[in-house]
Amino acid sequence: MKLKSFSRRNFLRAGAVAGVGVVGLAALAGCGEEEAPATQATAAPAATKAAEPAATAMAEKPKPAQIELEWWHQALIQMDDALKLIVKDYMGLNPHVTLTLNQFPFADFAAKLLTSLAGGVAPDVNYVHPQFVVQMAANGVIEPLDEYMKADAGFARDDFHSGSLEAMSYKGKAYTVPMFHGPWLYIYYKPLLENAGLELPWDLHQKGEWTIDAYQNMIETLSTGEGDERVWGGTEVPAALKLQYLWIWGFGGKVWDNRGAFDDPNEFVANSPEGVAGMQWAVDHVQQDLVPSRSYSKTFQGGNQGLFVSGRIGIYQSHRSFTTRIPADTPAGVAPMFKMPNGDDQSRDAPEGIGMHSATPDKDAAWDLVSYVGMEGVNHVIAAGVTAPTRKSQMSGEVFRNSIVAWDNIEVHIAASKQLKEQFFQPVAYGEINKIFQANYDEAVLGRKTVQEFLDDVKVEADRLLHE
Amino acid sequence: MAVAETVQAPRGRRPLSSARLKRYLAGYLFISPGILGFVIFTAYPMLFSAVVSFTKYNLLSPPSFIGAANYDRMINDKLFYTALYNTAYYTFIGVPLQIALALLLALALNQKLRGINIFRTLFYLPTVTPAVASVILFMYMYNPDYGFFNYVINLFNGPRIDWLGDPSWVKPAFIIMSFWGVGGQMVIFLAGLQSVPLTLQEAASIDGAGVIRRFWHVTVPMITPVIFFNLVLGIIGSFQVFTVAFIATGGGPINSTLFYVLWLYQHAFEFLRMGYASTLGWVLLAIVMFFTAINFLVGRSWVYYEGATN
Repeated sequence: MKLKSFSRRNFLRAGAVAGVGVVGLAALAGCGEEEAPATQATAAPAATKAAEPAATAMAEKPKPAQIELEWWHQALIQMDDALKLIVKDYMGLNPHVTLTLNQFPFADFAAKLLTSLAGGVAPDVNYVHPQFVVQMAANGVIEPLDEYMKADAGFARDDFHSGSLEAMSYKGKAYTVPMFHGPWLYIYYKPLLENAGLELPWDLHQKGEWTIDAYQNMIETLSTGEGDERVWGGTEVPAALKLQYLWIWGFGGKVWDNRGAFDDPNEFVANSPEGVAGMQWAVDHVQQDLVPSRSYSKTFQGGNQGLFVSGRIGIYQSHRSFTTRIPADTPAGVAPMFKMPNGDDQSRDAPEGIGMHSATPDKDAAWDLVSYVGMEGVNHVIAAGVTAPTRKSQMSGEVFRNSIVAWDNIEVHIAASKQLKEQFFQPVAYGEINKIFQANYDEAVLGRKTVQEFLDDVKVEADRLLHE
Repeated sequence: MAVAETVQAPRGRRPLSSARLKRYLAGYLFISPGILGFVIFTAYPMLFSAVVSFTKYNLLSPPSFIGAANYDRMINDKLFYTALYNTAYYTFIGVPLQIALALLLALALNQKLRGINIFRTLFYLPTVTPAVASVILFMYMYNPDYGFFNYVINLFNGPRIDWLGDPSWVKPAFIIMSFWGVGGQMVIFLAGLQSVPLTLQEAASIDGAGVIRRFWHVTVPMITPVIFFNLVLGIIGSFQVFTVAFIATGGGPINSTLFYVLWLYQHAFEFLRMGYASTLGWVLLAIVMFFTAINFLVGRSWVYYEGATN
């Protein structure tokens, strides 16, 4: 091949033309931005382009217009194959849809999604973590789904576990369809309990004797030894405020003034005597060394799960996605949430889900995908062992049955799902309030503050943030 | 030719000839990718963040102008001072220690030994290890019962330290962790040491100077530009410490590892306060510029540039 000679003059000319072109394009892009309304500039999805309906569609056999959908989800190695199968199945059922799945690590997901939204690029359908559902809903980023749910005969809203849809609601409207369900489970190391002469939690549950006192007695009995021989009875629930709701509720307190409502709260009220009692119970566990400290479990390979498998934790508080990570031959058993001092066994779930971007141009197509994933696609995620069934009718199904490890027990999951009665609301300022809560919790654990002082201090800051 | 033209050119402005214009244009065209990259990816975002620092902006809805409220908020934000203190502690204790260790390693690796290049590679390797992997490895080494550090302390009947759980130990733990990455500074020192003229060492030796005196009075003065370089970059880098706290502690316990950039990140992407985060970003720039300027001012009195007029 003969190379054409390219004179310096020609090169400069070409460069000048290219330069002018770049400047021109930049100017055009700038004009475009200025002309677009601000709200659209921040919310307009660029990724999705539903093709214009073919103008010459045949009258007798209308061909569905080719649709492109983009779905962003958190990347989790355990569910990678499941998500790909969902995409494959969906496109198989809907040949007119080109579905693109983009996955991002959880730690980066929020930053990636938020900056993309700010830049006017957004997926049609995206993963929603409970911490962001209120912020996204309050800012109109995701679409309320109630009308779509009603209009879709194939969507069995009532089949979802109670509390699941509500936990991802804001001001009474549901914004996501759950893809994850994991009420709390107590996984116990049988040999430790049997050697200590303790009755197994599941047996106690069946007799109606699985209570906070029974749990407390167990972890006190099981906590023995020193140094690297130390065995802890239980595990510390991470300091995040949303994970402490149960203790505060279970001792008769409230976290926010409008418990049970779907609206923003006005006040943080966990510093009541009941709330203090609940948090004191949790703090005592760390102070009395009945549970490994967070810093200890973080520096142990595998964390609490590693300690449990090593036989150094008696009862490991966890949820479904961890049951499949504990080897099948572990001498383990499992029980649901115990009864709290108020007599209730309310459990906790964090039903992550998928939502639909408000500005997606083809909302019906986006809803169809959301509905499919929530009703059918999620079976792949259940089979992968990442989630318990998100719907009641799936609990005794074959998919779930085949996905559990040898020591696990479906009856426990069914019981645990029934313990979800109330939503776990996270207000818009939750992230900042939680930061303050965590630091104060640490101070209480280290004995620098009483629990009352800790919660009083959180209240001052939390109330300020709620009204900002 | 160009020099001659410049010298002979009259002081007043004169119209550009077609040839000169083409030369200028060619020059600008050649540097245009760099300029465009800078304008699009650095200057514009910086300018935008300066504007955003005067707004309330949660990324999800358009920014609204709030004047200097974010700066006012910062002045009254207790955690701003906590983050600043933690970062200053990490920087002003950590950086001198990193420099001392890097220099010590460079001196050791500047010996003429068989296979010295293998040692140089080995000591540099940690620098290319991904930060996340290094942090996780160190977390295991900090385990109170099984960790390497407590094992060594235990050999001397020392106390059992909860490195990442005790607020008074966690910052020293992070500083120790930072030593893992001194390979970069070490290589720069090594280059500096190899540029010290042998004749000076020999002359000092003939005059009766021992190893230590030669080090303090010949080697150190000759490598002061390298020390200065490492110091300036070390301080700038340390003020931006993030990954280690993000992974190992999330800023805890009791905010004792809440570093400045972590606090900025949390505001931007966890609390959705992009306006306030931009404010923090600009103040960080001012802080870093301030310390860099101080360094340059003070550096005049102790940095020796061979061939410089003063």
